[in-house]
This record gives sequence, C-alpha cells and structure tokens, in this order.
Amino acid sequence: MAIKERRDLERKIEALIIAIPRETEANEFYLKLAGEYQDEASQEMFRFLAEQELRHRASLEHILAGLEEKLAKLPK
Amino acid sequence: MTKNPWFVHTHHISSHFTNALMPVGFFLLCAYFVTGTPSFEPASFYCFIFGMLGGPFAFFSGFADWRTRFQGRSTQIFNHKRIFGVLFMVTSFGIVAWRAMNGEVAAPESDYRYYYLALVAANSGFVTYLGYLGGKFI
Repeated sequence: MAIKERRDLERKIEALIIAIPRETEANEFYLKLAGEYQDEASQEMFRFLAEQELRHRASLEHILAGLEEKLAKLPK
Repeated sequence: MTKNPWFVHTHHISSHFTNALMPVGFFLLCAYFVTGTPSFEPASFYCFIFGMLGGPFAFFSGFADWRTRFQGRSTQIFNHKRIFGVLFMVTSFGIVAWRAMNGEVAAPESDYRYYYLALVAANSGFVTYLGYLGGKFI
C-alpha cells in the first residue's frame, strides 16, 4: 500500500516539476507580447496574463512543497 | 519567444537529428537485408555516423537543461533519460566503430550480421524511447 502511495505521489511530483518551468516560460511569452503592442488595452491584457502565469507557478510550487513533505513522511 | 538558454535549443535540435537518423539507418539496413541492394548498406552507415555525432550534443545539452530549468530534480523521466541516453551513445559508438573496423559486417556471408542488426535495432529502440520521453515535456 505504501509502495503504491509512494509511486502515486512521485508521479504527481514529476508532473509538477515538468509544469513549473512552463509557467515561467508562459509569463515571459506574455511579457514579450506586452512589449510588442503600443495600445494600452493590449499591453494591459498581456500583463494580466503574465501575472496569472506567475500566480500559477506560485500555486504549483506550493502544491509541490506539500506533496514532497508528504512523500518524505512515507515509510521507505 | 522565451528566454530559454542556448542549451535548450541545442537539445531540441540535436535530439531531432538523432531521432531521425538512427531509425532511418535501421530501416535502410533492413532494406539491405531484405533486398540485397548494396547501396542501402553504406547509406545506413552514414546515417549512423551523423546520428552518433549528434548524441553527445543531445545528451549534454539535455543534462544542462535538467540542471537549470528543472533544478536537477530526480524523477523517473529524468532518470530514464539519463540511463537510455548513455545506452544510446554507447550503442551508437559501438555500431559506427564496428562497421568502420569491418566493412563487411552486414554482408550476407558475415557471421555477425544478425548481431549487428540486433545492436542497431536496440539502438533505434533506445532513441525512440528517448524521443517518447522528450515528447512528455511538450
């Protein structure tokens, strides 16, 4: 049971480790687009989206830390 | 678009080279075995040479990417990429070295032709699996 739980946690952790850099890349992508537009509305939209990606990243890191803590407590 | 460091792009580019060249070399070698047309065999050898040369670029740029973007975290995907990456480079070198030392290794009269084919098949399996793992990051 513990082995199954460990594997399950490891898979979730792996998914988050892969997903976190994507949020940073999406943030940079939107910031770059914000810089390419002259009109206020477009700039605001892309800056908003960039901000959302940073929030996603923070959420994922928070979840990851919780899962890693849970994994560390599991018997080996 | 993003501020990816140079090795991320190097990894993507060189991985596509190895992922294309080695299986194509394998199919050309199979074509030689089936049809006996001599030109297929050297064509496969050239594919193996360039595929082997791309291997270290793919491996070390991927390693640098893992150390930076993924903070060197150990997970099953990264462990498999490392293990199969090493197996790929070793078998690629083995294929090219063997064929370079014995130009007749795949010839119909060679005692080793099926061992050589098996090594090439294993190598294509490794690189295909590495490509499959890489696809999980897209």
